[in-house]
Amino acid sequence: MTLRESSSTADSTPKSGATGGESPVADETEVLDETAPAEQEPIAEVQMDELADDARDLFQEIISHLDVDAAVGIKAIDDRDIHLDADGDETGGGILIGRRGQTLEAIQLLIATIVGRKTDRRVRVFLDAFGYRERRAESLRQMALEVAEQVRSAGQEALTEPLSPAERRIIHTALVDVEGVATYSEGEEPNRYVVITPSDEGEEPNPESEA
Amino acid sequence: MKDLIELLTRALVEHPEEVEVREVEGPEGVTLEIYVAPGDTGKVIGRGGRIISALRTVAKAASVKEGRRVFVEIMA
Repeated sequence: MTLRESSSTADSTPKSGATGGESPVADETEVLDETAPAEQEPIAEVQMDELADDARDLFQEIISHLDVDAAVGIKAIDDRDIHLDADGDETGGGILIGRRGQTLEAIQLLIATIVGRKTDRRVRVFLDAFGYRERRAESLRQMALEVAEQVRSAGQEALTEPLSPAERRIIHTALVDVEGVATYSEGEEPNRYVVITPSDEGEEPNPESEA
Repeated sequence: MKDLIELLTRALVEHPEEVEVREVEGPEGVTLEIYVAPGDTGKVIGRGGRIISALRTVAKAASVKEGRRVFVEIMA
């Protein structure tokens, strides 16, 4: 997190999200299969099972190539989401997850793209390894609350490091009910980040703002 | 590392039989040169370069144990 003066917006990238009073949470959508039409019927369950098997096999194969000792399981399948989880020898976690989860994110994009080619429907793939996602979510929530407190007392905006759409959503959600601060996203992928701003000086007018 | 990139590239394109990955040693590390059918270049690059960037990230992870730098290039 870095603090910046609320007034000094000259050096900041133009913000393209959270316009027109839309919820910043709703803004954090990650389109994995960009060629798929937006409106889709849920994929038939049999086919989703097959796609999930393919995704699992591919994740397992990638893990073997990385010399990481872990087994992949299918954690959940629903209408269009496949959740996979790798567990095993945690010494391989650094390689498989990468700095701030970037290796896991890269593998997730590749698997979603490859599996998405086998169907016209939109499929989303979510990967976890060694419980990383929940640990990361908890530390992001913790950080969000601490920084929100600083933002409120200092009256200064703070910026997060670059975050994935899912990670930004965690920050927005964690602070949605916290009074005195507002959040929005700014910057271009993959360097998009969250701005935590005092809400009584923020760009979105707050009817309940205190003087 | 080469095998992994080749496997992923084959799975991404329309013409997997035309995929070739060459490993070229250089002074700064190893370069993986990806050759695909002309119409498949975009599939390997992805919108905004997202796919090639993901391939580079994965190759980097695979190179950790080998202790050398790796570069991934799509050859047009």
